[in-house]
Amino acid sequence: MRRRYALAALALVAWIAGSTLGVVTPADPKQASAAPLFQFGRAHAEYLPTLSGTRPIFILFIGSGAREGEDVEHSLADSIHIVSLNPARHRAAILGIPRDTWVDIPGYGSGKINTAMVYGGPQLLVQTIESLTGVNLDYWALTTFWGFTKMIYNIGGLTVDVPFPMHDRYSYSDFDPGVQMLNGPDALAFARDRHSLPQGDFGRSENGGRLVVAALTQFRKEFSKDPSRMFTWIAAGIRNVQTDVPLDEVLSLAFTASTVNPKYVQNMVAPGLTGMAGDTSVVNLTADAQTIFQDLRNDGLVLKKNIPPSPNASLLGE
Amino acid sequence: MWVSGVAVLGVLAFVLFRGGGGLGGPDNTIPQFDFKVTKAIPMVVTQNDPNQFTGQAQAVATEVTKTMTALYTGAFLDPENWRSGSYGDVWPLFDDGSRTSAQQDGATITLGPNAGDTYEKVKQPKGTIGVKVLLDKQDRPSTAVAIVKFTALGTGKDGTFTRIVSRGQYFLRLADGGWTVYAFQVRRGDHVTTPKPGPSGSSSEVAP
Repeated sequence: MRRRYALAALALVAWIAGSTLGVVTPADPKQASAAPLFQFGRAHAEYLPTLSGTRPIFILFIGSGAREGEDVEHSLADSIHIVSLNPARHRAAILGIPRDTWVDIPGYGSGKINTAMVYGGPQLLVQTIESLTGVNLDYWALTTFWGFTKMIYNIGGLTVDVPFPMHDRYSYSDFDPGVQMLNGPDALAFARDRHSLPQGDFGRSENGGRLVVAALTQFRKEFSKDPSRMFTWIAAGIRNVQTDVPLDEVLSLAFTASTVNPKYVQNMVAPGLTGMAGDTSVVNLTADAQTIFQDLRNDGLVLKKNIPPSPNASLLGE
Repeated sequence: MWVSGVAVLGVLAFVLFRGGGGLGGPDNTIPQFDFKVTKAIPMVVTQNDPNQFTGQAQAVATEVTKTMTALYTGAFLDPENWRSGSYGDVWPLFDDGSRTSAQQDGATITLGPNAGDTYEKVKQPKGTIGVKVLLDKQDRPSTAVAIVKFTALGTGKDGTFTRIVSRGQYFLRLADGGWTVYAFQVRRGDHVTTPKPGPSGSSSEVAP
Protein backbone atom coordinates (compact mmCIF):
# COMPACT_ATOMS: atom_id res chain seq x y z
CA MET A 1 0.00 0.00 0.00
CA ARG A 2 2.77 2.41 0.98
CA ARG A 3 4.54 1.46 -2.24
CA ARG A 4 1.45 2.41 -4.30
CA TYR A 5 1.23 5.81 -2.59
CA ALA A 6 4.89 6.34 -3.22
CA LEU A 7 4.46 5.54 -6.90
CA ALA A 8 1.47 7.84 -7.14
CA ALA A 9 3.47 10.64 -5.54
CA LEU A 10 6.34 9.99 -7.91
CA ALA A 11 3.99 10.07 -10.84
CA LEU A 12 2.50 13.39 -9.73
CA VAL A 13 5.91 14.97 -9.20
CA ALA A 14 7.17 13.59 -12.47
CA TRP A 15 4.18 15.01 -14.28
CA ILE A 16 4.79 18.45 -12.76
CA ALA A 17 8.50 18.26 -13.46
CA GLY A 18 7.91 17.07 -16.98
CA SER A 19 5.35 19.77 -17.66
CA THR A 20 7.64 22.43 -16.30
CA LEU A 21 10.42 21.21 -18.52
CA GLY A 22 8.06 21.06 -21.44
CA VAL A 23 8.73 17.42 -22.04
CA VAL A 24 5.70 15.53 -20.81
CA THR A 25 2.53 17.29 -21.78
CA PRO A 26 -0.84 16.10 -20.53
CA ALA A 27 -3.18 14.81 -23.15
CA ASP A 28 -6.11 17.11 -23.70
CA PRO A 29 -8.31 15.83 -26.51
CA LYS A 30 -10.10 19.18 -26.87
CA GLN A 31 -6.85 21.05 -27.05
CA ALA A 32 -5.43 18.49 -29.43
CA SER A 33 -8.36 18.74 -31.79
CA ALA A 34 -8.23 22.54 -31.73
CA ALA A 35 -4.52 22.63 -32.46
CA PRO A 36 -3.37 22.77 -36.07
CA LEU A 37 -3.18 19.19 -37.23
CA PHE A 38 0.05 19.45 -39.18
CA GLN A 39 0.08 15.74 -39.62
CA PHE A 40 -2.98 15.67 -41.85
CA GLY A 41 -3.22 16.87 -45.39
CA ARG A 42 -0.29 16.93 -47.73
CA ALA A 43 2.56 18.82 -46.18
CA HIS A 44 5.50 19.47 -48.42
CA ALA A 45 9.14 20.07 -47.60
CA GLU A 46 11.82 20.91 -50.11
CA TYR A 47 15.38 22.08 -50.24
CA LEU A 48 17.29 22.40 -53.50
CA PRO A 49 20.91 23.56 -53.47
CA THR A 50 20.47 26.13 -56.21
CA LEU A 51 23.03 28.70 -57.17
CA SER A 52 22.47 32.05 -55.54
CA GLY A 53 23.76 35.54 -55.95
CA THR A 54 23.35 38.14 -58.62
CA ARG A 55 26.32 37.16 -60.75
CA PRO A 56 25.02 35.53 -63.90
CA ILE A 57 26.47 32.27 -65.17
CA PHE A 58 27.36 32.19 -68.87
CA ILE A 59 27.67 28.96 -70.82
CA LEU A 60 28.54 28.68 -74.47
CA PHE A 61 26.60 25.96 -76.27
CA ILE A 62 28.23 24.85 -79.49
CA GLY A 63 27.00 22.50 -82.17
CA SER A 64 29.92 21.06 -84.09
CA GLY A 65 29.46 20.52 -87.78
CA ALA A 66 31.79 17.50 -87.69
CA ARG A 67 30.73 14.33 -89.45
CA GLU A 68 31.44 10.97 -87.79
CA GLY A 69 35.17 10.32 -87.83
CA GLU A 70 36.10 14.00 -88.00
CA ASP A 71 37.73 15.98 -85.21
CA VAL A 72 34.74 17.25 -83.29
CA GLU A 73 36.62 20.00 -81.46
CA HIS A 74 38.33 21.33 -84.59
CA SER A 75 35.44 21.48 -87.03
CA LEU A 76 33.25 24.39 -88.01
CA ALA A 77 30.88 25.52 -85.27
CA ASP A 78 27.48 25.07 -86.90
CA SER A 79 25.47 26.61 -84.10
CA ILE A 80 26.59 29.00 -81.38
CA HIS A 81 24.48 30.07 -78.41
CA ILE A 82 25.33 31.97 -75.26
CA VAL A 83 23.04 30.83 -72.45
CA SER A 84 23.03 33.08 -69.40
CA LEU A 85 21.43 32.22 -66.12
CA ASN A 86 20.57 34.81 -63.50
CA PRO A 87 20.16 32.71 -60.33
CA ALA A 88 18.84 35.51 -58.16
CA ARG A 89 16.06 36.38 -60.57
CA HIS A 90 15.38 32.79 -61.70
CA ARG A 91 15.59 33.95 -65.28
CA ALA A 92 17.71 33.14 -68.26
CA ALA A 93 18.54 34.34 -71.73
CA ILE A 94 19.62 32.57 -74.89
CA LEU A 95 21.49 34.52 -77.50
CA GLY A 96 22.21 32.89 -80.83
CA ILE A 97 25.20 34.16 -82.75
CA PRO A 98 25.01 33.70 -86.51
CA ARG A 99 27.72 31.33 -87.61
CA ASP A 100 28.83 33.61 -90.46
CA THR A 101 29.45 36.55 -88.13
CA TRP A 102 32.60 38.38 -89.23
CA VAL A 103 34.85 38.83 -86.20
CA ASP A 104 38.39 39.19 -85.04
CA ILE A 105 39.71 35.78 -84.05
CA PRO A 106 42.51 36.26 -81.49
CA GLY A 107 45.79 35.31 -83.13
CA TYR A 108 44.24 34.61 -86.54
CA GLY A 109 42.96 37.95 -87.79
CA SER A 110 39.46 38.45 -89.20
CA GLY A 111 37.29 35.53 -90.11
CA LYS A 112 33.91 33.92 -89.75
CA ILE A 113 33.19 33.11 -86.15
CA ASN A 114 32.56 29.45 -86.92
CA THR A 115 36.14 28.98 -88.08
CA ALA A 116 37.56 29.90 -84.65
CA MET A 117 36.93 26.36 -83.46
CA VAL A 118 38.76 24.92 -86.46
CA TYR A 119 41.85 26.93 -85.54
CA GLY A 120 41.88 26.50 -81.79
CA GLY A 121 39.06 24.28 -80.58
CA PRO A 122 36.28 25.39 -78.22
CA GLN A 123 38.77 27.37 -76.16
CA LEU A 124 39.55 29.71 -79.06
CA LEU A 125 35.87 30.05 -79.88
CA VAL A 126 35.30 31.05 -76.24
CA GLN A 127 38.09 33.62 -76.51
CA THR A 128 36.67 34.95 -79.76
CA ILE A 129 33.19 35.37 -78.33
CA GLU A 130 34.49 36.93 -75.13
CA SER A 131 36.40 39.40 -77.27
CA LEU A 132 33.32 40.10 -79.39
CA THR A 133 30.81 40.48 -76.57
CA GLY A 134 32.81 41.42 -73.49
CA VAL A 135 30.98 38.62 -71.67
CA ASN A 136 33.12 36.30 -69.57
CA LEU A 137 32.01 32.80 -70.42
CA ASP A 138 32.15 30.43 -67.46
CA TYR A 139 31.88 27.17 -69.36
CA TRP A 140 31.38 25.63 -72.77
CA ALA A 141 29.53 22.56 -73.92
CA LEU A 142 29.97 21.04 -77.37
CA THR A 143 27.79 18.48 -79.06
CA THR A 144 27.57 16.82 -82.44
CA PHE A 145 24.81 15.71 -84.77
CA TRP A 146 24.95 12.18 -83.41
CA GLY A 147 25.52 13.28 -79.79
CA PHE A 148 22.49 15.53 -79.96
CA THR A 149 20.38 12.75 -81.45
CA LYS A 150 21.44 10.31 -78.72
CA MET A 151 20.82 12.89 -76.03
CA ILE A 152 17.23 13.30 -77.14
CA TYR A 153 16.87 9.52 -77.31
CA ASN A 154 18.32 9.14 -73.79
CA ILE A 155 15.76 11.50 -72.27
CA GLY A 156 12.94 9.72 -74.10
CA GLY A 157 12.18 12.39 -76.71
CA LEU A 158 11.55 16.10 -76.51
CA THR A 159 8.17 17.80 -76.59
CA VAL A 160 8.35 20.86 -78.84
CA ASP A 161 5.73 23.37 -79.83
CA VAL A 162 6.57 23.71 -83.51
CA PRO A 163 5.45 27.25 -84.25
CA PHE A 164 5.07 27.13 -88.03
CA PRO A 165 5.21 24.62 -90.86
CA MET A 166 8.69 23.29 -91.58
CA HIS A 167 9.29 21.13 -94.62
CA ASP A 168 12.81 20.88 -95.91
CA ARG A 169 14.41 18.08 -97.90
CA TYR A 170 17.93 19.07 -96.88
CA SER A 171 17.50 18.72 -93.14
CA TYR A 172 14.62 16.21 -93.47
CA SER A 173 12.38 18.46 -91.37
CA ASP A 174 8.73 17.67 -91.97
CA PHE A 175 6.59 19.32 -89.34
CA ASP A 176 3.13 20.74 -89.18
CA PRO A 177 2.68 23.36 -86.48
CA GLY A 178 1.69 22.24 -83.01
CA VAL A 179 2.93 20.54 -79.89
CA GLN A 180 4.61 17.26 -80.70
CA MET A 181 7.08 14.79 -79.30
CA LEU A 182 10.25 14.79 -81.36
CA ASN A 183 12.61 11.84 -81.40
CA GLY A 184 16.34 12.34 -81.86
CA PRO A 185 16.46 12.60 -85.67
CA ASP A 186 13.35 14.81 -85.70
CA ALA A 187 14.83 17.17 -83.13
CA LEU A 188 18.04 17.33 -85.15
CA ALA A 189 16.06 18.13 -88.30
CA PHE A 190 14.23 20.88 -86.41
CA ALA A 191 17.55 22.29 -85.23
CA ARG A 192 19.18 22.17 -88.66
CA ASP A 193 16.43 23.39 -90.95
CA ARG A 194 17.16 26.80 -92.44
CA HIS A 195 15.62 26.43 -95.87
CA SER A 196 12.06 26.61 -94.48
CA LEU A 197 12.85 29.87 -92.77
CA PRO A 198 12.78 33.31 -94.36
CA GLN A 199 15.99 34.50 -92.74
CA GLY A 200 17.90 31.24 -93.07
CA ASP A 201 20.59 30.83 -90.43
CA PHE A 202 19.12 33.60 -88.23
CA GLY A 203 15.84 31.72 -88.01
CA ARG A 204 17.61 28.44 -87.48
CA SER A 205 19.57 29.95 -84.61
CA GLU A 206 16.34 31.06 -82.98
CA ASN A 207 14.97 27.54 -83.36
CA GLY A 208 18.06 26.24 -81.58
CA GLY A 209 17.09 28.44 -78.65
CA ARG A 210 13.53 27.18 -78.97
CA LEU A 211 14.83 23.66 -78.36
CA VAL A 212 16.66 24.80 -75.23
CA VAL A 213 13.43 26.34 -73.90
CA ALA A 214 11.54 23.14 -74.77
CA ALA A 215 14.15 21.11 -72.92
CA LEU A 216 13.87 23.35 -69.87
CA THR A 217 10.09 23.07 -69.94
CA GLN A 218 10.22 19.30 -70.09
CA PHE A 219 12.99 19.02 -67.49
CA ARG A 220 11.03 21.11 -64.99
CA LYS A 221 7.90 19.09 -65.58
CA GLU A 222 9.70 15.81 -65.07
CA PHE A 223 11.70 17.09 -62.11
CA SER A 224 8.58 18.27 -60.30
CA LYS A 225 7.03 14.82 -60.63
CA ASP A 226 10.18 12.80 -60.03
CA PRO A 227 13.34 14.66 -58.98
CA SER A 228 15.46 11.57 -59.62
CA ARG A 229 14.88 12.13 -63.34
CA MET A 230 17.53 14.80 -63.00
CA PHE A 231 20.15 12.05 -63.09
CA THR A 232 18.72 10.79 -66.39
CA TRP A 233 19.06 14.26 -67.88
CA ILE A 234 22.54 14.81 -66.51
CA ALA A 235 23.74 11.41 -67.69
CA ALA A 236 22.17 11.99 -71.13
CA GLY A 237 23.85 15.38 -71.33
CA ILE A 238 27.32 14.50 -70.19
CA ARG A 239 27.45 11.26 -72.16
CA ASN A 240 26.81 13.13 -75.37
CA VAL A 241 28.63 16.41 -75.00
CA GLN A 242 32.16 17.51 -74.40
CA THR A 243 32.28 20.13 -71.72
CA ASP A 244 34.47 21.79 -69.14
CA VAL A 245 31.64 22.04 -66.60
CA PRO A 246 32.57 19.95 -63.54
CA LEU A 247 29.96 17.40 -62.47
CA ASP A 248 29.27 19.16 -59.16
CA GLU A 249 28.56 22.35 -61.06
CA VAL A 250 26.30 20.47 -63.46
CA LEU A 251 24.28 19.35 -60.44
CA SER A 252 24.05 22.90 -59.12
CA LEU A 253 23.03 24.19 -62.54
CA ALA A 254 20.39 21.48 -62.87
CA PHE A 255 18.90 22.29 -59.46
CA THR A 256 18.94 25.96 -60.39
CA ALA A 257 17.37 25.30 -63.80
CA SER A 258 14.48 23.60 -62.01
CA THR A 259 13.62 27.01 -60.55
CA VAL A 260 13.64 28.92 -63.85
CA ASN A 261 10.24 29.38 -65.43
CA PRO A 262 10.58 28.88 -69.20
CA LYS A 263 8.16 31.78 -69.69
CA TYR A 264 10.91 34.04 -68.42
CA VAL A 265 13.61 32.75 -70.72
CA GLN A 266 14.56 35.23 -73.42
CA ASN A 267 15.36 33.67 -76.77
CA MET A 268 16.91 35.88 -79.42
CA VAL A 269 19.50 36.07 -82.15
CA ALA A 270 22.16 38.75 -82.38
CA PRO A 271 20.96 41.10 -85.15
CA GLY A 272 23.17 41.52 -88.17
CA LEU A 273 23.20 42.26 -91.87
CA THR A 274 24.57 40.04 -94.57
CA GLY A 275 27.46 41.46 -96.53
CA MET A 276 30.63 40.45 -98.25
CA ALA A 277 34.19 40.16 -97.04
CA GLY A 278 36.13 39.73 -100.25
CA ASP A 279 34.24 37.01 -102.04
CA THR A 280 32.86 35.51 -98.84
CA SER A 281 29.29 36.04 -97.68
CA VAL A 282 29.36 37.14 -94.06
CA VAL A 283 27.20 38.64 -91.32
CA ASN A 284 28.09 41.99 -89.83
CA LEU A 285 26.48 42.47 -86.44
CA THR A 286 24.64 45.77 -86.01
CA ALA A 287 24.95 48.31 -83.20
CA ASP A 288 21.86 46.73 -81.63
CA ALA A 289 23.93 43.61 -81.00
CA GLN A 290 26.35 45.67 -78.94
CA THR A 291 23.45 46.89 -76.81
CA ILE A 292 22.44 43.30 -76.18
CA PHE A 293 25.98 42.39 -75.20
CA GLN A 294 26.02 45.30 -72.77
CA ASP A 295 22.78 44.12 -71.17
CA LEU A 296 24.12 40.59 -70.83
CA ARG A 297 27.27 41.85 -69.16
CA ASN A 298 25.13 43.68 -66.61
CA ASP A 299 22.99 40.87 -65.28
CA GLY A 300 22.77 38.13 -67.90
CA LEU A 301 19.41 39.38 -69.15
CA VAL A 302 18.38 41.72 -71.95
CA LEU A 303 16.14 44.72 -71.38
CA LYS A 304 12.80 44.18 -73.06
CA LYS A 305 13.23 47.24 -75.27
CA ASN A 306 16.52 45.85 -76.55
CA ILE A 307 15.24 42.42 -77.55
CA PRO A 308 15.38 42.29 -81.35
CA PRO A 309 12.46 41.15 -83.50
CA SER A 310 12.29 37.43 -84.20
CA PRO A 311 13.95 36.45 -87.49
CA ASN A 312 10.93 34.17 -87.95
CA ALA A 313 8.47 36.99 -87.29
CA SER A 314 6.78 36.71 -90.67
CA LEU A 315 6.04 33.03 -90.05
CA LEU A 316 4.83 33.75 -86.56
CA GLY A 317 2.42 36.40 -87.82
CA GLU A 318 4.20 39.11 -85.83
CA MET B 1 14.32 20.08 3.46
CA TRP B 2 10.92 18.82 2.47
CA VAL B 3 11.04 20.85 -0.74
CA SER B 4 14.47 19.57 -1.73
CA GLY B 5 13.36 16.01 -1.02
CA VAL B 6 10.42 16.40 -3.36
CA ALA B 7 12.67 17.91 -6.00
CA VAL B 8 15.08 15.00 -5.83
CA LEU B 9 12.20 12.57 -6.05
CA GLY B 10 10.81 14.54 -8.95
CA VAL B 11 14.02 14.42 -10.91
CA LEU B 12 14.43 10.72 -10.16
CA ALA B 13 10.89 9.99 -11.23
CA PHE B 14 11.24 12.12 -14.34
CA VAL B 15 14.35 10.23 -15.37
CA LEU B 16 12.72 6.89 -14.68
CA PHE B 17 9.54 7.73 -16.53
CA ARG B 18 11.29 9.30 -19.48
CA GLY B 19 13.56 6.28 -19.77
CA GLY B 20 10.49 4.22 -20.50
CA GLY B 21 9.11 1.02 -19.21
CA GLY B 22 10.15 1.56 -15.64
CA LEU B 23 7.47 1.96 -13.03
CA GLY B 24 4.67 1.71 -15.62
CA GLY B 25 5.82 4.74 -17.67
CA PRO B 26 5.56 5.11 -21.42
CA ASP B 27 7.23 2.48 -23.52
CA ASN B 28 10.25 3.98 -25.22
CA THR B 29 11.11 0.91 -27.22
CA ILE B 30 11.97 1.80 -30.82
CA PRO B 31 10.05 -0.40 -33.26
CA GLN B 32 12.27 -2.61 -35.39
CA PHE B 33 12.55 -1.07 -38.84
CA ASP B 34 14.48 -1.66 -42.04
CA PHE B 35 13.83 -0.28 -45.49
CA LYS B 36 13.29 -2.84 -48.20
CA VAL B 37 15.65 -1.94 -51.05
CA THR B 38 13.68 -2.21 -54.30
CA LYS B 39 16.32 -1.09 -56.77
CA ALA B 40 19.87 0.17 -57.09
CA ILE B 41 20.50 1.71 -60.48
CA PRO B 42 23.86 2.98 -61.73
CA MET B 43 23.67 6.06 -63.99
CA VAL B 44 26.81 6.54 -66.05
CA VAL B 45 28.07 9.69 -67.75
CA THR B 46 30.66 7.79 -69.81
CA GLN B 47 30.12 5.52 -72.79
CA ASN B 48 30.58 2.44 -70.58
CA ASP B 49 27.83 -0.11 -70.10
CA PRO B 50 25.88 0.81 -66.93
CA ASN B 51 25.31 -2.87 -66.15
CA GLN B 52 28.95 -3.33 -65.24
CA PHE B 53 28.47 -0.93 -62.31
CA THR B 54 25.48 -2.64 -60.72
CA GLY B 55 27.60 -3.97 -57.86
CA GLN B 56 28.91 -0.48 -57.13
CA ALA B 57 25.37 0.88 -57.13
CA GLN B 58 24.23 -1.84 -54.74
CA ALA B 59 27.10 -1.05 -52.37
CA VAL B 60 26.13 2.62 -52.40
CA ALA B 61 22.47 1.70 -51.91
CA THR B 62 23.42 -0.25 -48.79
CA GLU B 63 25.18 2.78 -47.32
CA VAL B 64 22.46 5.20 -48.37
CA THR B 65 19.86 2.92 -46.81
CA LYS B 66 21.74 3.08 -43.50
CA THR B 67 21.44 6.86 -43.55
CA MET B 68 17.78 6.79 -44.50
CA THR B 69 16.97 4.14 -41.89
CA ALA B 70 18.64 6.29 -39.24
CA LEU B 71 16.74 9.32 -40.52
CA TYR B 72 13.30 7.71 -40.46
CA THR B 73 13.95 5.92 -37.18
CA GLY B 74 14.96 9.17 -35.55
CA ALA B 75 12.24 11.19 -37.24
CA PHE B 76 9.24 8.90 -36.75
CA LEU B 77 9.97 5.90 -34.57
CA ASP B 78 12.16 6.85 -31.62
CA PRO B 79 9.63 7.67 -28.87
CA GLU B 80 12.19 9.73 -26.99
CA ASN B 81 12.37 12.02 -30.01
CA TRP B 82 8.72 12.38 -30.93
CA ARG B 83 7.51 12.57 -27.35
CA SER B 84 9.88 15.44 -26.69
CA GLY B 85 9.51 16.99 -30.15
CA SER B 86 13.27 17.12 -30.30
CA TYR B 87 14.99 15.31 -33.16
CA GLY B 88 18.60 16.14 -32.48
CA ASP B 89 19.97 12.91 -33.91
CA VAL B 90 18.21 13.49 -37.25
CA TRP B 91 19.70 16.83 -38.28
CA PRO B 92 23.34 15.70 -38.54
CA LEU B 93 22.19 13.42 -41.36
CA PHE B 94 21.68 16.59 -43.43
CA ASP B 95 24.70 18.52 -44.66
CA ASP B 96 25.44 22.10 -43.64
CA GLY B 97 23.59 23.54 -46.63
CA SER B 98 20.32 21.67 -46.16
CA ARG B 99 20.18 21.30 -42.37
CA THR B 100 18.53 24.62 -41.59
CA SER B 101 15.81 24.07 -44.18
CA ALA B 102 15.26 20.55 -42.89
CA GLN B 103 14.82 21.87 -39.37
CA GLN B 104 12.43 24.58 -40.57
CA ASP B 105 10.43 21.89 -42.33
CA GLY B 106 10.65 19.67 -39.27
CA ALA B 107 6.88 19.16 -39.09
CA THR B 108 7.00 17.43 -42.47
CA ILE B 109 10.32 15.67 -42.23
CA THR B 110 9.66 14.30 -38.74
CA LEU B 111 6.58 13.33 -36.80
CA GLY B 112 6.53 16.93 -35.69
CA PRO B 113 7.25 19.12 -32.70
CA ASN B 114 3.91 18.36 -31.05
CA ALA B 115 3.68 14.67 -31.84
CA GLY B 116 3.97 13.85 -28.14
CA ASP B 117 0.65 15.63 -27.59
CA THR B 118 -1.05 13.62 -30.27
CA TYR B 119 0.34 10.11 -30.22
CA GLU B 120 0.50 7.37 -27.67
CA LYS B 121 2.38 4.94 -29.86
CA VAL B 122 3.86 4.62 -33.30
CA LYS B 123 4.20 1.12 -34.65
CA GLN B 124 4.07 -1.09 -37.77
CA PRO B 125 6.72 0.82 -39.71
CA LYS B 126 7.20 -0.24 -43.30
CA GLY B 127 9.29 1.29 -46.02
CA THR B 128 10.76 0.82 -49.44
CA ILE B 129 13.75 2.57 -50.91
CA GLY B 130 15.03 2.77 -54.47
CA VAL B 131 18.45 4.24 -55.08
CA LYS B 132 19.88 5.76 -58.26
CA VAL B 133 23.61 6.35 -58.22
CA LEU B 134 25.20 8.89 -60.53
CA LEU B 135 28.76 7.95 -61.39
CA ASP B 136 31.35 10.55 -62.31
CA LYS B 137 33.55 10.74 -65.39
CA GLN B 138 35.85 8.15 -63.82
CA ASP B 139 32.87 5.86 -63.15
CA ARG B 140 33.07 6.41 -59.40
CA PRO B 141 29.94 7.04 -57.33
CA SER B 142 29.39 10.77 -57.15
CA THR B 143 25.92 11.30 -55.76
CA ALA B 144 22.80 9.28 -55.14
CA VAL B 145 19.10 9.85 -54.90
CA ALA B 146 16.98 7.78 -52.54
CA ILE B 147 13.32 7.37 -53.47
CA VAL B 148 11.57 6.57 -50.22
CA LYS B 149 8.10 5.43 -49.22
CA PHE B 150 7.45 5.06 -45.51
CA THR B 151 4.35 4.29 -43.49
CA ALA B 152 3.63 3.65 -39.84
CA LEU B 153 0.55 3.47 -37.65
CA GLY B 154 0.13 6.15 -35.02
CA THR B 155 -2.13 5.47 -32.09
CA GLY B 156 -3.59 8.73 -30.90
CA LYS B 157 -4.09 9.70 -27.30
CA ASP B 158 -7.72 10.28 -28.19
CA GLY B 159 -8.09 6.70 -29.39
CA THR B 160 -7.95 7.42 -33.11
CA PHE B 161 -5.46 5.89 -35.49
CA THR B 162 -3.43 7.68 -38.10
CA ARG B 163 -1.65 6.12 -41.03
CA ILE B 164 1.55 8.13 -41.13
CA VAL B 165 2.78 8.42 -44.70
CA SER B 166 5.99 10.00 -45.91
CA ARG B 167 7.14 9.91 -49.52
CA GLY B 168 10.27 11.64 -50.54
CA GLN B 169 13.35 11.87 -52.59
CA TYR B 170 16.62 12.62 -50.86
CA PHE B 171 19.81 13.50 -52.69
CA LEU B 172 22.90 12.31 -50.86
CA ARG B 173 26.64 12.46 -51.28
CA LEU B 174 29.54 10.96 -49.45
CA ALA B 175 30.86 13.16 -46.66
CA ASP B 176 33.26 12.43 -43.81
CA GLY B 177 30.77 10.56 -41.71
CA GLY B 178 29.01 8.66 -44.49
CA TRP B 179 26.29 9.52 -46.99
CA THR B 180 24.51 12.73 -46.01
CA VAL B 181 21.50 14.49 -47.46
CA TYR B 182 22.10 17.69 -49.42
CA ALA B 183 18.73 18.12 -51.13
CA PHE B 184 15.27 16.78 -50.52
CA GLN B 185 11.67 16.89 -51.59
CA VAL B 186 9.31 15.25 -49.11
CA ARG B 187 5.54 14.97 -48.92
CA ARG B 188 3.36 13.78 -46.09
CA GLY B 189 0.03 12.15 -46.72
CA ASP B 190 -1.11 11.17 -43.23
CA HIS B 191 -4.72 10.13 -42.87
CA VAL B 192 -7.06 8.77 -40.27
CA THR B 193 -7.52 5.05 -40.44
CA THR B 194 -9.36 2.29 -38.65
CA PRO B 195 -7.38 -0.70 -37.48
CA LYS B 196 -9.00 -4.08 -37.15
CA PRO B 197 -7.80 -6.84 -34.88
CA GLY B 198 -5.28 -9.09 -36.53
CA PRO B 199 -5.10 -12.87 -36.06
CA SER B 200 -2.72 -12.47 -33.13
CA GLY B 201 -4.85 -9.84 -31.52
CA SER B 202 -2.66 -7.02 -32.78
CA SER B 203 -4.38 -4.35 -34.79
CA SER B 204 -3.97 -3.97 -38.50
CA GLU B 205 -5.32 -1.25 -40.70
CA VAL B 206 -8.53 -1.24 -42.63
CA ALA B 207 -8.17 0.52 -45.92
CA PRO B 208 -9.86 3.91 -45.74
